[in-house]
Parts: sequence; C-alpha cells; structure tokens
Amino acid sequence: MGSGTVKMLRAGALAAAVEIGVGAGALWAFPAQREIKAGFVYVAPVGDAGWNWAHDEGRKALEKLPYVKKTRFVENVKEGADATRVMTQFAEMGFNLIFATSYGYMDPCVETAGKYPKVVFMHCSGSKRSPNMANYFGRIYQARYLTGIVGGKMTKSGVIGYVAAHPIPEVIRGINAFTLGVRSVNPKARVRVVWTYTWFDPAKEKEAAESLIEVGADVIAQHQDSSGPQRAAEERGVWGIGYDTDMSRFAPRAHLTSAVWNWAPLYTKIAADLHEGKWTNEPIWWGIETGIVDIAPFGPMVPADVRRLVAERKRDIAEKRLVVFRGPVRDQAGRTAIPVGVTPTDLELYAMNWFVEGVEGKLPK
Amino acid sequence: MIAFALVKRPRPPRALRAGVAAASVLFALVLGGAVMAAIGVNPLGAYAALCRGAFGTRYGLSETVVKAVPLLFCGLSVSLALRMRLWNIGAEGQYVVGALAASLVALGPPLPGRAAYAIVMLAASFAAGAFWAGVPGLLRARFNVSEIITTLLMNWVAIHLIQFFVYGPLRGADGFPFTRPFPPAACMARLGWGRMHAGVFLAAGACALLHFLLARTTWGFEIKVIGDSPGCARYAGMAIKKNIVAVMALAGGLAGLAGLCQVAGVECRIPREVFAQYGYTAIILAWLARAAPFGVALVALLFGGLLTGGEMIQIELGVPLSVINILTGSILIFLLAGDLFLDHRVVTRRAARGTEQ
Repeated sequence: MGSGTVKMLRAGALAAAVEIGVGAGALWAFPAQREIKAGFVYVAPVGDAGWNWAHDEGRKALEKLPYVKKTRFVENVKEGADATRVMTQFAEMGFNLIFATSYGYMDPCVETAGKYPKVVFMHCSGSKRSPNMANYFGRIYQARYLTGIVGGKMTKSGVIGYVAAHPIPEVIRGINAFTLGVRSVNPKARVRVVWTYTWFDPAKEKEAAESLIEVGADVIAQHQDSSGPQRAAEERGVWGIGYDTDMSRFAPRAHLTSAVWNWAPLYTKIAADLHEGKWTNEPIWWGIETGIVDIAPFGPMVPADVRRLVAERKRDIAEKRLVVFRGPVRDQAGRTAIPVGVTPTDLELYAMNWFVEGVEGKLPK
Repeated sequence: MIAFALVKRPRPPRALRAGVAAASVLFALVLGGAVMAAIGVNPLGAYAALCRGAFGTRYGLSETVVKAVPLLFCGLSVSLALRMRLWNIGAEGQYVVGALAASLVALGPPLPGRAAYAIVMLAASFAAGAFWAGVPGLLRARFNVSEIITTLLMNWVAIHLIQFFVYGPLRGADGFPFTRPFPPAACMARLGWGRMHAGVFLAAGACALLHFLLARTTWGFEIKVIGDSPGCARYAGMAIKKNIVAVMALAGGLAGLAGLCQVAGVECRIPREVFAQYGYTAIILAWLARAAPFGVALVALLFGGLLTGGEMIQIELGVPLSVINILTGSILIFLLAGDLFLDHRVVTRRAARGTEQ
C-alpha cells in the first residue's frame, strides 16, 4: 500500500481513535519500513521457561530476517507506569516496532502509541487499538481443550486441579475450554480452580498445586509462566499438564503434555507486513491451524488411543468441524449459557467472565 | 608476617566517609564490569548507557526523579523511625494503604475541583499510613511488642486489602484487575517535563521539613535521646511512650504519601502491582544514608537512576536483567561493607595490641 493510500485512510477518521473490540472498526495502514528495529517488553524474566521465553523465541526468529536490524527486550517490567517508560525509551531510541506482551500493558501502550505515531505498537491479548497500534493473540483455548481431553482420560480420581493466574477473561476462557475438553471424554470429572493472583511466582504456584493435590487432584494443569505446578506434580507422583512451552524437562515422569505457544510465524509475518507496507491495525487472533498454538509432544505414559483421539480432535478444530465453545454449553449452575448450535462471537469470548459446568471454584466479585 | 586487626573508630571523618563511598561504588563497578566482560559485553559501553539512561537525557532524568519520589518518602519513613532506634519494616504496607486511601477518595463521590481532591487525598493517604504504623507503635509503647514483627506482618494485611479492592469493588469495567482511571481533577498536576508531577515538590518539602525537625527542634533532640539512651530520656522526664506512637505514626504517614504520589502522580489509577518493593528498598536506603533526610534523597535518586538506567543497558546492549541485578546488588554490598571501614580502623596486629593496652 503506497503512502498516498495511507494518507487517505488517515484522513478518513479522527485523531486518537482508540477503538475497543475485536474485529470491529476502521483499518489503518502504515508506510513501508525499510529497516526494522523491534523492541519487546516482557512481564517476567525470559528465563521463566514459559510465556516470556516463548515470546523470546519469536523475537529470535525476527532476528533472522534481513531487514530486521536489531531486536532488544526489557524483562520483568511491571504492568502500569513502568511499561510506559520502557516503551517510550524504545521509541526514543529509534525502534519502530514494539511488542507489548502482557495484558496490563494495554493502556500504557495506547498512551505511548499516541505520542509516537511513527512507531508501530503490537499489544498481546488486549482489546484496544489506535491508528498505529494493533492487538494480537492466538486461540490457545483450542490447545487447552485438547490438553483437557488428555487430562480427562488420565484422571483416576475424577478431580483435576487447575492452578489459575488472575481472574481475567483470558484465564477464565482457558479454564472453560480445558474443562469442556475434560468433560467431552469424562463427563463426571471436575476441575478445581485455585487462584494465585500471579503470572510468575514459582514458589507460590507450586504451593497452590500442592494444595490441589491434597484435596484429591491427580492431574495438575496451570496458567502461570513458571514450572512450579509441574514440579509439584512430579514430586507428588501425579500427572501434570503444562503451559506456554514444553515443560517436560521439569517433570519428566509427570508431564502429559502442555498447551504451547509458537510466536515465530506470527512475529515474522508482522515484521514482513511492516517492511512491505502491508501492515494494518487489524486485530489478529490466529487459531491452531496456523501453528501459533499447539500441544507439546506427549509423555510416554499417554496411551496410544488417547494420542489418536487428540490428534483427531486437533484436526477437527483446525478444519472447523469442531468449535470449542459451540453450544450447548452450560454454566456452573447448570443453566444454558450458550444455546444449542450457537457459536459465541470473538467479542463474547474476549469478555468471558463465567465458568462452565464442571468447574469448581469461584470468581472474585 | 603481618596480621591485621580492626579497631573501633568513634567518629569517622567526613572526607573518609566520601572516600569510602566512592571506593565502594568503584569496586562494585569493577566487579559488575568483570561479569559483563565475561559474557562479552563492553562494560564501559554499559556504564555509559546506564548514565545516559538515568541522567543523560531529559526524559531519562525526569523518570529517575519520578522513580525517586516514592523511594524518598519511604526512605524518610524508615529513617525517622531509625532515629529512635525503631525498625519500620512496614513502609511497604503503609505505602499500599496510602495508595488505597487516596484512590478511594479519587474514585468516590466527585469533589469540587482540584484543590479539594488534593487536600482530601493528601489527608486520607497520610492518615491511612499513620494508622497502619501507629498500631504497631501503640503495641510497642503499651505492651513492648516488637515493631519489627508487627510492621512486617501489617504489610501482608495491606497487600491483601488492596488486592481485595482491585479485584473486587474497585475493579474496572473490562473485568481486569485495575481500577478505572481517576477523574483528571484527582490526578496531580504535571510539571511539563516528562511525567514529573507535583509530588516532586511534596517529597522535597517533606525531606527539608524532616531535616529541620530532626536537626533543629527540641522534639528532634528528644527522639534521638530516647533512641540512643532510653535511661537518660526517662531520667530527663521525656514522654517515651507518647513519642514512640507519634514517631511511628508520622513515619507511616510519610510512607502513605509515597502511595499517594504513585497513584495520583504517575499511574492515575491503581494498577495490578502497585506494590513495588519501595518500602523494602527504603530500609536499605535509610541504612545507606545513615537516616539523614538529605542523604536519603541522594540515595533515592541513585536508586531511581539504577532502575531507569538498567533498562537502558538492556535496550542498548541487550544485557540480561540478571547481570544488571548483579551490578546493583554488588553496589549495595560494597557500600554496606564499606561501613566497616568507617567505624573501624585497620591496624597491624602489633599496633592493635598497643592501642588495647
């Protein structure tokens, strides 16, 4: 897209148009960038072996592109005012593509994007956009559904523990998809949820997993970025289902599989689009068919029939024969939350703040 | 063979103090530089980036000052208590309740205008912090309960309290654990230089006032006597118990103002992680500054600079955060260890025997 078109697009809407919502609203284009300097903001240390490590693998993939001159990251940046400073420093240092990889960077990202219109901001997992800021995410809930099938097949006690991070829609969506997966093969199983209110606190998250094992959970799933819950599963001799990256190295005897991220294809596409002048602020929410989300290789304890079943379901999801949240879906109280045959919109998925039937736990009100 | 011994030195000369501090920082820079060289990073380049990020650009300098504000308030809080040999380990919690109280005012029923918000929020955050530290003060004065334990435990209560509000009644409309933004009139005025806000003056004023109180007033003298020599204080008829409560409450109020400055000056809401270890860092700050208010201000600026400059090392040179933590950690350890040479003289064994006799 030439710069003439860009100007036309810009003239079309008014300044500081921050839109909320997924898939709605006008698209903004951006002039082609000959060279790209990409800055990444991480919420925990890269060495977390989880969320941030996965993003950093994506960053390394960017470095291989000939027009990407430099990539840099700042780790352990708190959500809020600190993120504004880091993004501002990136922009001041001439970086023209900034990845803000945590939900809580949303408003700082909007604020900084407003001040640096010549820099493209990509915010992960959020819902606000502006002319030079877009949001992106992957449908990790699809992978969670598949790991739920594994958990549902492997549990003997019928109680699965879920060490949950923060009570926000993204986490709730994951718990729900996981539970739907569990109950698709084991309708009586229950998923018990404990909140840690952390993204990365290995000791606390391990303790939370231990408390779930105490009350009878024999499979431990998790949302945090640390391997703490997996290590608890390993030590206590129960099964574990990890998140973010293949966590088998932390729990070789316990690890069934993990719901994993693979940001490289998306990150290289974003950089390529920006380089070629094809970047727009269209929201991105890629599914399992693109490879952005997947499940890690199975542990040796997962039997062949389970592996086959999961592979089949994965194909069904990729080819849209199976839609995770298509009704009928009942809520915790047994009421119909999604009627038969109805598929929730992305907007509804983004705002999900209720639990499906089979989840045992409360949302703080 | 020559053996060394340490001999206590009653009053370190001023020049020595500066020299030891400079040498400590130098040693730390050499050690940090060795670590960076070991991973293939040019240490001089890294230190240049550190200084540029912290003090070398207009924006960097403003951010260093903004970071220093809550550190200064919390450092003053710990220092004031230290003057009376009381350990306020609870600046973190007092900071949190200060932030919470200010936010409850900001997000509550509308007030008529900026001035009203400023006054009520200031009073609320000071009062909340004062209460949070006043309770341990009262327990110490009445029942001799260790304030170290009570102030520390109160931190956890404060953190759970603010989490309850941020995840519950104050939660923003989109379901995520931040409060909605404050109305503009409840945010502190910005000074037109980066994010520098009116709280910078508030902090500077508090620092000067505390210096005056401690150095120039009878009350300042009284709490020093109570701290250094309770027996003398009792003999002189000083109100020890009343002063314990008063000092703790004032210290808590100062930490509460740190919370006010952070939420009303910088964030304009309560973010998910409003607690940022300022209160704990303040203990090191107060120790390094020997509880002197202007010293605390200087060390707070140094710490603010290390934080903002540390980010610049990551941006410019791609150095991992852990290496920067090694650097800041070693600066601290060398500075603290340097104290040994302030309070002691190193002498040869023979000379030591000579002084003992």
